[in-house]
Amino acid sequence: MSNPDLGQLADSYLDGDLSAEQARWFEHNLLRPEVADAFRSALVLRELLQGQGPDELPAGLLERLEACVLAELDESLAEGLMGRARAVLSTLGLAWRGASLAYSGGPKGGRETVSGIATIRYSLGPLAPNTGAEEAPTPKKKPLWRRLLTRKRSG
Amino acid sequence: MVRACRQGDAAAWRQLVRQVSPSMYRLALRLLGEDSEAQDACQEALMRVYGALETFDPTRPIGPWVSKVTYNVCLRRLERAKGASAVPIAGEAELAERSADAGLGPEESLEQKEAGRALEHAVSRLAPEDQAILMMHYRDGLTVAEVGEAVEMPVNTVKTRMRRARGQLRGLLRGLFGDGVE
Repeated sequence: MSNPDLGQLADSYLDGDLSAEQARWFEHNLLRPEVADAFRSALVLRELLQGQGPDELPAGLLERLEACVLAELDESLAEGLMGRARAVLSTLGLAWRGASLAYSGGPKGGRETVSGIATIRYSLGPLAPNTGAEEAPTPKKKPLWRRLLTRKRSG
Repeated sequence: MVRACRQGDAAAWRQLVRQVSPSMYRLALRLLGEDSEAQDACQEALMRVYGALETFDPTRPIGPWVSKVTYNVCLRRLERAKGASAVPIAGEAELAERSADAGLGPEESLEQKEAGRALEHAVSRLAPEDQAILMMHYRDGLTVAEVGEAVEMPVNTVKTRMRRARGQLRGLLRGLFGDGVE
């Protein structure tokens, strides 16, 4: 078995990816120098990889991250309070408007009156279609003295 | 903790930030290579976590999901940087230097520092997805399935990429360690 294969085998052994049989073979052959070397290499590489990167955060980063999150929290809280306040005010506003409308009795205070009494006209015949044209006004009957005067002149 | 965060509990949010920010920063630093970029990416990722927490299933561990958000934020930043200019954010050697120095404290021996630098240099030459996979699995302790969820790849693909990445690292580190790491 070549060294790269042994290296991969050692990695897989350390990862727990070998079958029971493969693991047994590996353990059995650890006394062989090439297998032992591969195992040692895999351990060293693993340790190096486990130690990569810093343990501590740079100065000020934690405070900066906390401040960002807390600022978002404060903003969310303020928005929540404003939203609730708006909802309460709009409910009160509606109630006030409703009450004022009910008190006034209508859009113009209830003083709008219909002028006169509509004349009801009856017709025994079928209803003529409404052409929309205005009917000619019925001529008024002249007073008696005028009729007499006119007859005297004509006659 | 997630449920308390959803209800706007400030203390719960502080606890969550303390818990996830180290792995977020490590991943961002690994992918972006620069401290200021990594910090900005962490902030952006955390804001996305804040905005999307309502959609997260609180019965599941939050670590993989936060890693996924951070990973996507970093990839977008890398794409933007690639589009903006041909010059990378940081050169390979510089990147390895910064990452290695950030990762090792003064108590580490010179040999360990050398090894750390060599590893950082080697890892920086891998594809960003492979770098993220190695960081999440080995450094942050995510299972292969959780890593797959974070990088949106099937489990077998993650395993294959890990195997290939380790093989590449072995080749890159061969010269430095000789018989130590083949």
